[in-house]
Amino acid sequence: MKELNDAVIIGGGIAGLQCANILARRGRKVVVVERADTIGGHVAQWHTCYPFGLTGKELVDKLTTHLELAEIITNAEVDNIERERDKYAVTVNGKRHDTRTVLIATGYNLFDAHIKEELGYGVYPRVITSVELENAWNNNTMPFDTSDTDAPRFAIVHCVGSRDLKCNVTHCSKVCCMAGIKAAKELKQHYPTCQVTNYYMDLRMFDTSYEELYHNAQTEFNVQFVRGRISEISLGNKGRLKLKSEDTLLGIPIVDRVHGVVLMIGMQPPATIKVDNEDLAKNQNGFLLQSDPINANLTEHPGIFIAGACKGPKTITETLADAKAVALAIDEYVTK
Amino acid sequence: MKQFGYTTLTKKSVNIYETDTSLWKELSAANPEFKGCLSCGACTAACPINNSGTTLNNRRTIIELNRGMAITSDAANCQMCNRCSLVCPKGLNTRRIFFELIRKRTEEKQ
Repeated sequence: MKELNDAVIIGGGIAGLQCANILARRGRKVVVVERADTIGGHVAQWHTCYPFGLTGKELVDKLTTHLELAEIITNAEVDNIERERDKYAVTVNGKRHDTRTVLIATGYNLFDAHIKEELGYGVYPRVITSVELENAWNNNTMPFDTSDTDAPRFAIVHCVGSRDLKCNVTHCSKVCCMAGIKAAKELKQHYPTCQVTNYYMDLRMFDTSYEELYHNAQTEFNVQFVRGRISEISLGNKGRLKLKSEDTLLGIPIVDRVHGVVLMIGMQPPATIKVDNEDLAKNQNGFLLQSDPINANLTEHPGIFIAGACKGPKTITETLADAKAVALAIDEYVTK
Repeated sequence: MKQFGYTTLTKKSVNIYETDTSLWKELSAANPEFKGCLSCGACTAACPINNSGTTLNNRRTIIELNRGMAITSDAANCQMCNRCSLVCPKGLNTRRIFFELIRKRTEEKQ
């Protein structure tokens, strides 16, 4: 008789860890399966996480208090999930794990900025993504060389790989507005004499304290906000970058010349997970679909749960709340 | 020079990296609340002077100052009725922007 787990959690990001931590604390037998060689997912590489100001690493550490009770498999590839009456067999790196429930917490993929060719990512080294900016702060390095000027200019381009039908992305990635403003403030802190301009389509400050973040960036940090999408980034004089856009609030085309551009890249649906060789149901944006209007973590397969950003773009706070909800749902399912 | 019978149009785009924003810096230092403008346009919609066909436009003026662009509103048109401030969701004293511009112009004349 093979050992029967209570839950196999696919994805060792914050959603998977939060759920695993809670279930382990409640004495459930849990296996966490992570594709990368370390746990923590995308959040582990963020330098600061809004609104609590923790580093990604600190946040992940807070979610691992009881994880020694769970089995964690890194560098793992899920080969197959098969239903066998009231349990599932999950094959990970060729080894079979029997379990009562499976939680899909595979998170999201980052948009590949190379696809937006007009923005010059991969062509001009001074065009970086929001992820590279976080990595630079993590490594205590300055993301842009500004040794030739006293008053550098930077541009932050919102909605790269969000709300863009040409890239087959119709959804809004939701968190980049806040991350873009946070990036502007951080640039201002690291380069005190700089001028930062955020190029946005809409600023969707949807939650409490986000509007204050925007207000604070305007009034305390003098960040400039231009409503207009960048049509083209090209090489200007002295190795600087030339940005073309329209200031849509004035109806005037504008040209900016900057020392660095940060592209706020959006969230894309994660890789497909198959159950009994069939894809899980997806919504119109390619993220996993919840099958029940009340219970946000159910799928059409009893015993297969979903949580976190694999259901759609989510903030850290929302992901953690969702993961806590799914922990209760799994606990109840296993008890019955 | 031979005339070919066509005219060229002047370039419309503005290089915002080389505009002069000193006036904005001066006004926003004295009135930091202007920096928090959301550009919603309620002030302009409430403005009877804008509605009577002038170019007076609070929202536009704040952006033009911020970018260091030419100001298209004639501040002298403002009647200081304060309707713009009444509807401002951020509670800005929006008519003050014209008040400051008039004061600035008067100071320059003296």
